[in-house]
Amino acid sequence: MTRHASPPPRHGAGRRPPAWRARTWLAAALLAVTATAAAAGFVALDLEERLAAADSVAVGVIRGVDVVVRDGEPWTLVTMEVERWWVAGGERVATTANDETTAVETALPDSLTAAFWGGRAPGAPPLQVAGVPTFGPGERVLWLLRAADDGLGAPTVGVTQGVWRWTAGVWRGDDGSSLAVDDDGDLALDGQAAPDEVLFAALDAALDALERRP
Amino acid sequence: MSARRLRLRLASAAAALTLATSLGVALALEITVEPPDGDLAAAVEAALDDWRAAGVDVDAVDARVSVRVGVAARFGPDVTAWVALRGGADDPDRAFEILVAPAAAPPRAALIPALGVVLGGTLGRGALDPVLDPAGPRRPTPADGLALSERLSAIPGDLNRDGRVDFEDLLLMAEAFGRRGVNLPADLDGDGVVDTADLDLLRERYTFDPPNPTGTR
Repeated sequence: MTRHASPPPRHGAGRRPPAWRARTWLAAALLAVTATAAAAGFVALDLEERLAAADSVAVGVIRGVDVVVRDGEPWTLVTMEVERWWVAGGERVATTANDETTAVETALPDSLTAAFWGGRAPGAPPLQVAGVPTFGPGERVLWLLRAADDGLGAPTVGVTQGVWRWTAGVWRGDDGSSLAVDDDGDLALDGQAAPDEVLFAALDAALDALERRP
Repeated sequence: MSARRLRLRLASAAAALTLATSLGVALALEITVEPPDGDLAAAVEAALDDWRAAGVDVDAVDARVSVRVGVAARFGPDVTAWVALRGGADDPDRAFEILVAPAAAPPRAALIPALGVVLGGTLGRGALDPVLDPAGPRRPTPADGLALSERLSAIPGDLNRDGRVDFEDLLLMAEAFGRRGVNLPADLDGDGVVDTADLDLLRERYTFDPPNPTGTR
């Protein structure tokens, strides 16, 4: 497969999304439109859809949670110290030791910051936004993020569906499901808990499979 | 304040009054729709009727809500409506805002879960829980209505729903303390984390029961 040299993730600025990502965005948009025919405030995504929608995929530890006021509205800035990138700025990141683009990893930033609409800060009334996940310093999270340069209210894929927190030996989602592997070793929701190296390899394989899609 | 702005405010208040009256709801549920007439206002009315049909006593809810179409960039493809609660617990101007995604057409479907959040959230029951519905379009069922009505009638802090806030509820909160997520039963203030603020809410309603002579409870 072709791996791309990865520029620092700018969450969408001046990049051309891969064709499969553009198709997924379109599909998700269509799903959102059709779902409004009678139901969800948020659109439910399966695991593959979540991975395909992500412009950043990384694991790390939350180091900062700050609230700023923009145009009179509080925004919560969550900064994660990144242990490892899988997707950055919409591009797959080289992950294997033998990969010729491995050196590019050194150019990746060691942290990412995501902005969420809402929060509590001097200068603006406190604002709670339904369903937006919260983060605390010291949490270890595996995170799927959408590009958000244009002011997306919550950049986590699927609002809450693209974040798993390392909790008691399990990557646990906010809906209670876990990120794990199935009997075949493939990435799955609510499968068997696995060591990080196994789970991360399964995540690699799942992302690679998405890239190979025609 | 300019005369024009004053007229607009009066018009807005009148629209809220008119809508509340036309919906047949108590004025305690104050809904302001921008624009006050047209498809969005009709969709609000229809979505409230859906919750009524599901058995929810909408008229008993005390809340201020504004509804309007939001800026497209705020939504992305995952969201059909945002529900925000602006203002602190002691803020007399505390109010909900529902922003409907411009792509959410017709908006009635987006408003059903959004209004469900508002209806369930007025008692601070951790009800800021948007609907995730992989099954696709649907209207609230009697089961949805029953769940929402139970939430409205439940005692805040009564985590095990046995009708009182006591040591068993404190234990449940202790188990959940520090957890983050959506729709956590112990997240009484609905801010996404079970913390001391929730403990304070539980403490306000805590009752010390005499020991049970059987020793079983």
